[in-house]
Amino acid sequence: MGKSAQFPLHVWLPDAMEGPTPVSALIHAATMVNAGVYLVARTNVLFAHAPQAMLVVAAIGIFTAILSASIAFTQTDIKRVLAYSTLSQLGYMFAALGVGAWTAAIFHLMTHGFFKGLLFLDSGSVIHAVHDEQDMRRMGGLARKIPITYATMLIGSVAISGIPPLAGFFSKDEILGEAFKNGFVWVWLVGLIVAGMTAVYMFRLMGLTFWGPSRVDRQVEPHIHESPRVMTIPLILLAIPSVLLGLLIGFPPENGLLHGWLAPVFEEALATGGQHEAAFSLFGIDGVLILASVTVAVLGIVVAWRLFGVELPLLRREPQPERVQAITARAPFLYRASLNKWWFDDLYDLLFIRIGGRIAAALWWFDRVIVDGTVNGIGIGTQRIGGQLRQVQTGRVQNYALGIALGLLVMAGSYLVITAR
Amino acid sequence: MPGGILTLITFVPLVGAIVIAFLPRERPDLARFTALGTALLAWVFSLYMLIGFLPTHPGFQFVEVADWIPAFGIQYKLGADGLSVVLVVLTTTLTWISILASFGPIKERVKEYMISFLILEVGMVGVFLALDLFLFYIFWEVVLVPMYLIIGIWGGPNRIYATIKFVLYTLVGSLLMLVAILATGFAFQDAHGGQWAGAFDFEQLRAFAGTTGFANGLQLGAFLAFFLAFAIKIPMFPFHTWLPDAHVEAPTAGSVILAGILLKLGGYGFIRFALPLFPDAAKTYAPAIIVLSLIALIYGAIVALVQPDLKKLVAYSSVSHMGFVTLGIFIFQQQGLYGAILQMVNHGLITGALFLLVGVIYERTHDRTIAKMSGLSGRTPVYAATFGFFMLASVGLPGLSGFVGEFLVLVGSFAYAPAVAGVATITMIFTAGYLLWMYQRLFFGEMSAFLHEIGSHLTDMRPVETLTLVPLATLVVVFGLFPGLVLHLVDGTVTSVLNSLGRATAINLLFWQ
Amino acid sequence: MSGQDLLTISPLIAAILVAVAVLIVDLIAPGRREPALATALLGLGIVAILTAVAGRTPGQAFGGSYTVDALTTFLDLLFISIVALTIAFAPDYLEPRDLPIAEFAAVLVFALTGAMLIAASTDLLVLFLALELMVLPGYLLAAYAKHDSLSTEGAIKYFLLGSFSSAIFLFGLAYVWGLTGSTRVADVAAELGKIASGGPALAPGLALGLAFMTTGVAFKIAAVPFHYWTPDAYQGSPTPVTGYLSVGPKVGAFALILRLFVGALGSLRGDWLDVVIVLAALTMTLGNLVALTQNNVKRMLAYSSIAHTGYMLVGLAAYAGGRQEGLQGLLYYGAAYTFMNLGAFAVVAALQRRPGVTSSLDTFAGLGRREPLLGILMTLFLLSLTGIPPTAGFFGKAYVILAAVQAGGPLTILAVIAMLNAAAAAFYYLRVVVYMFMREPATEGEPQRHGNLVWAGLWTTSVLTILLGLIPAPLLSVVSDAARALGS
Repeated sequence: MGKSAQFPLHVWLPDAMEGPTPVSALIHAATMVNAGVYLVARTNVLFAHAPQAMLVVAAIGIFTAILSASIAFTQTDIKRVLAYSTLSQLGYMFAALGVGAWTAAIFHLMTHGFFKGLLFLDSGSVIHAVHDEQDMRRMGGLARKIPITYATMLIGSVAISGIPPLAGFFSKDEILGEAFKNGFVWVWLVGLIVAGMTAVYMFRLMGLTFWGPSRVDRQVEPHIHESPRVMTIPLILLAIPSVLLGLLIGFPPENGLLHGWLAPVFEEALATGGQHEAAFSLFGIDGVLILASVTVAVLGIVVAWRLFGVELPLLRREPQPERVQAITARAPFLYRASLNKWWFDDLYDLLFIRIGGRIAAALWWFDRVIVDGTVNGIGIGTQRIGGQLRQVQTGRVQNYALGIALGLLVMAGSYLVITAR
Repeated sequence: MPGGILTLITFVPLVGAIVIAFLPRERPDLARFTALGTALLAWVFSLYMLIGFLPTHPGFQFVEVADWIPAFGIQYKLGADGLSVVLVVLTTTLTWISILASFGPIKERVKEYMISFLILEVGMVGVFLALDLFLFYIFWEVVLVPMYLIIGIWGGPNRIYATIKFVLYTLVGSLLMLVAILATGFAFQDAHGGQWAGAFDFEQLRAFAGTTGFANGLQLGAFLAFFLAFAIKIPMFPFHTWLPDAHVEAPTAGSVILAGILLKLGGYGFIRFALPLFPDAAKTYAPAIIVLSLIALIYGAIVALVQPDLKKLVAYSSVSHMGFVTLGIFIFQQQGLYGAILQMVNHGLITGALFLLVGVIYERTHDRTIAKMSGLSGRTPVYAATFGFFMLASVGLPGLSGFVGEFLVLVGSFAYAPAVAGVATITMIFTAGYLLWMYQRLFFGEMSAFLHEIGSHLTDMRPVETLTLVPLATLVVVFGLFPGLVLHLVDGTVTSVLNSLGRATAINLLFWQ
Repeated sequence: MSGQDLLTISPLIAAILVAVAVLIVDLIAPGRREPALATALLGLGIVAILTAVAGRTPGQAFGGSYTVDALTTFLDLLFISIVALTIAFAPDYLEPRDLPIAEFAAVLVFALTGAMLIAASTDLLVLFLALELMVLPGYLLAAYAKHDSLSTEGAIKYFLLGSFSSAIFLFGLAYVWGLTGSTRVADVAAELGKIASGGPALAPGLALGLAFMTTGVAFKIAAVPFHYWTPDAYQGSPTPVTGYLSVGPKVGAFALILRLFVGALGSLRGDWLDVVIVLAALTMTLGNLVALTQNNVKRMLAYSSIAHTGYMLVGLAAYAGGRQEGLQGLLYYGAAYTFMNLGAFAVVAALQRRPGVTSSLDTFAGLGRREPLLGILMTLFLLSLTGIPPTAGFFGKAYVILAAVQAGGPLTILAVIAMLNAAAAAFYYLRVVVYMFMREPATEGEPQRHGNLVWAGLWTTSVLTILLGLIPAPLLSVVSDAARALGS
């Protein structure tokens, strides 16, 4: 579970993504962190036999999802937003595994791999364009200057927000739908909120980066230019599946190509868990659920639009920083919690570096003073006894004679006792 | 396979040592190359033995018997099963590597040093091959003296304290073991109508232990004495404090052998002698030993975290890693035993290599304080990469050999008690913690002022140094990918030990091979 | 006295003649060492041959008070080796100090006759006479450096306390004689055997007699708490004498114990078992503990010899606990101890070739560099004294421990105590090795030249130290024959 960076072991992922190049960040996002999801999915039978474990997985997953989403709200580093977004989406996948939506989890894993890879490469392109600046407060108005990056990143954002018919919609909706149908209404509810939050923070990212007035450094501004082909072509190549993948392998819903491939894998788990994936009915409960999630996604986009501005045709709107400030002022605690990532880094710093360091130092003291001290103490003590005994050797012959006489007395006494037995 | 191969492996180094004694003092290179040649010869013989060994054949092979002290049925009896073969080859390999690694650092009294090292090899190989308890004890003690000299003469500033501590600590354990060996032999003699024949013959003693069995009181006492001797050697918490001192003061090659082979003598002793001869006592004491192993695991790792001295850090990491060995042995599970044996081999390779690497930097800076180093990777990239490789192997990165042994022990301990496996797993986090942190402090960041002062002496690895590490790295990768190479050799050992404990060996480990 | 008697006691007579011959040679060529040494060593060789020949035909002389059996032969040969080796080691030390060598050799050979008489005597009175014959030359030797006040002081203490203890011992003998009506060992044993096998109860007088005799011999072997004389006498004596005193009279006294306690009082062993156990434990523990604190190698070896007495007593205790192997172990240990301890003292003596060189630890600093061969040999002796295989000391220790473990009960605990002691002893033995090889000398001294005799003696002791550890079987059969000669 640590591999997939789930709460409470999630701290490492954003830190790892901050430093390296976008390419390695992509690797993190698309492959490595997925290993944990894969592991749980692969051992599905084991988990299916342990409903409590499933419940734990679901709870941790959905909690990671909402926690990370809330942190992504306020981060100003473009890659950090994406990193927490990754965490949040991985949380979805875990929640899906936890509620028994095995196929949906893998489905989301795949779609997410594409659009999150796209987003990371986009962010790399953006950072490259503004001369290695990662802080979104020093961006803005980049849409026209780097159009390909802009366009592909918009596609990625729409996809992750879960707007049909892009890839993210199908997989995310399937997770939420199955959570609801399998009786995990609370997972569905939280997941729905997270979906809305996702839309908000992604379009906040778009707004801060591409739209509105430029806040780029004056010296850098003239030099902003689109990335070279080697960077843009992968972007376009990744944008295509981000749009189409859902339709291709996930349509019709819950009965697409992917479901066919994966059915044998999870057969036994489904049989054990007793959760047969219910048939999809657009005009039944599923339709309502789709409607709900799409609505929430759109709502999220609208909120972001109202606050951070949009520069699309028809929907042009200037960003409203004062309103953002008003909102943050109204909920200062939440704002600070989000900004400080719910203080997890500090908590771990306290736990592992400070307290852990103290414990380690104390143990070392114990090792030197108590354990080794005992050993050396035995040695020194033995020598000291020897030194004491040495004093008996006074060098005076009369003392020696007395000693021998006393020894003789003891000897005679003991022989008398022994022979009298 | 001609007879006498085991005697050949054991005593070839002694012949080399005698030859070196007659070489002129003014020409140290002659002594160096004679020693290296002898060690290589012993190595070749040991490989020859490895090739001739039949893993499917149960029991001991290449057995050589000769009466030695017939009045007490004491024999010169050597023989090898898979465990012996594996550890003997490890010994001969590490010995020539260590001798090669000593070419540069050892400039004083080269003759005496090489003689000590070769006699040390005689003792180590002898311990792994002796099938007579009395003979085993003699080889066990023979190991002691050269190591005492190696630390005491060619060691660091506090070497005398360290070496005397090493000797006294070991002697307390081993002398009590002698009492236990004699008592065991006598119990056998007593049960056979006063006939001494076979009283110290391991195979006969094991057969006796498997049928009639030794009296309970003797088992409890003798096992305790054996345990003390082996626990000190391994070393187990709380008998470990000689190890950091000895490691810090020993010359590099001494540390390599100390960590690579000497610590394995304890694990070998448990598997070969203590368990089969005193199975009931082993079962009685096992829970306590498991607890001690767990303490050693975590305690060693945590204390390693705060070590300022590089060698001490690796020393405490040994305490922690060897905890896996004792844990694997005393859970009495098949996987655990396989894992413990593999872990012994891996720890020998990896920690041996780590000490060689510490020696590399020490030779250039004459310092091992972690705080004084940083940013080494810029100046010495090959060194950084090699160090990183073995560091990750020590962490237990899958694909490298360190992983498989620990994993097998974890699987075994899960079957024993999930809580035990849980505690052991936590250790792996700490292990990653202290090793990665150490690596980060040494190699990343800006180069420290101290290293700047070293200036041009701070060179990357020399060819000889690389030459000593390449075989180890190769084996780490090979055993990481194909642990079956080792595991299938010790099938017979594991089966017979578990049989003597009355444990089934149903689990098929074929998928490792 | 028949012809057979004469053959039986011929080694003893030869020994006396050798001593006289040495004195006569010295009279003819005064102050020249070679003739005297040659006479002594050659004579000892003849004595050894005679001993071996006489040993071929075991028998008794003088109506059963003098016995030649496997034990006598073994002990006699051991005594002859001790004396021969001491004579070989002595010149290098004595000559630079202007101490006469011929008298030294003669006195030693006189002491040898005493020891040989002990080994052969099966009569309580002869036993006592022989004991005195052995120790009186010892007093002389202790005071051999007559201008050295330390030597004289040690000798006087040795003499005073020695006489005291001899008197105590004699008192004990008188009790036994009085209560059993005989001084013949065989008769005493028969009489006591009746008591042991449920006859009349043991008289309190006999218990007192046992106590007096035990005290007397405990003094002679330097068992704690009757050891006070040893450190002072050992340190004061000239080093070759110390070497002799730490081995000769000790093995001689053990011979006395074998003839008296095992031969005559064997049937009472259940009574003296507990006392010997306590003595053994005390002796080795105190000897080792005090040796730990010594900075003078000679004094350290003095205390270490006390500790070794303790290990030998373990063998005796194992015998008392019902194990014949205890006696064999004791004898084996005696032989092993003889060679390794004499060797160690020989190295100390060789180092002190130049007058004024003390035997403090500092003298040994850097010896491994200055005189490597001497350093290596000393290391060998020290390792053997520690009990590290494959040396004589190890096998001796293993032997007595085996016997103790066989006897079981409290003796198992004694075995454990002995081993813990051995571990502690490693500290002070190895400290000498530390000084020799791991420390630089305080002053850069020239390597010294040592006489051929010293080297011959050192090679003999070192080869035997290794051989008795590596190939113990031949000596094993000898000691088991010797032990069997005593009966069980």
